[in-house]
Amino acid sequence: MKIEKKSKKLLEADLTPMIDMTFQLIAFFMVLTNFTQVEQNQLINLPSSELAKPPEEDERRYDITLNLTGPPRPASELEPGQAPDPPEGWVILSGKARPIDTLGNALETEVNIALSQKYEFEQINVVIRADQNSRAEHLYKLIDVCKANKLERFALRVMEEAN
Amino acid sequence: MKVRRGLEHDDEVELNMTSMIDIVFQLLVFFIMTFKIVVQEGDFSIRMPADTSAGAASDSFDLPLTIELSAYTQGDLDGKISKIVAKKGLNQVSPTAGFPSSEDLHEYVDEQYFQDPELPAEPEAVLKIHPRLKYSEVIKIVTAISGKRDPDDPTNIITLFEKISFQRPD
Repeated sequence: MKIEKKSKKLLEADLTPMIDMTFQLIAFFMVLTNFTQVEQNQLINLPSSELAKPPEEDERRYDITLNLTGPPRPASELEPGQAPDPPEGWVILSGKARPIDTLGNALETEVNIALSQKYEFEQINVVIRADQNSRAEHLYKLIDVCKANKLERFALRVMEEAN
Repeated sequence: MKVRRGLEHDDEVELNMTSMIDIVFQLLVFFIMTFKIVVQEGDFSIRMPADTSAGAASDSFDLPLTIELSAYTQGDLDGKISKIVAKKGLNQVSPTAGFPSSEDLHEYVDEQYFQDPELPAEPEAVLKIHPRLKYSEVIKIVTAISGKRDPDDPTNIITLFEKISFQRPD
């Protein structure tokens, strides 16, 4: 009996197209990646406006972002172990939530940082990111606290409306 | 003399690309991990100078347009606009019962401030807002008075009011 020796074939898989696709993906992500950190607190749901257009880059402008909270979500909507939302009408500055009445000192600190970087008061822009369900009274209080700190320029932040 | 040739023509050059592919995958994973989809945000700018004499005007042409917004405070419409009254100085320019909707306010602003070429270059608007009005409604009004999209060129925004300020309601 002749036992046929099977020749062992080395199976070759040509992976060149996979490498090409990988390069495509890298190029895609490289073009889209934006490393500038835009301060966007995810707790705040901004209202949308059809006229919203992104603010122009201006080096002579120093932005202070104040997030104004809306009504907190009920505990049932939170993930287990997630911290409860801050109460309505609180301000989140640099990641820390506080009532508007106690904002003065923290705001003064921010303003001093801007002044130490040689910005003038007219160049400091207060960006107000208010939740769509927050009330005008909180907005007024916030503006008053800012005016007490000699801040004059404000920007109301909105979301772009998806067409 | 043995001429030592360099590379013969029929020699195959082998390049081991495995390492490059590993690095490429590393890069790809890095970019995938750092990719974040953010919604684009825009700004409406308001100037509130320290001397809030926003009502002071040099002559009658420069009187700011005062828009008073009342709000519902209970029920399903809690926080929504109940009445839009527009005044120039002491004269009410809106219909007696106020503008029925923000679109009517927008049309009024468009007609009075944009279509008419004789108007001041930088009109001012003052918003007096009920304390319980929701921010989304405030933005609706600010949108209605600050501009409109050019019907011929949707990417172009025509500015109506640029100077908007807030005052506490009386």
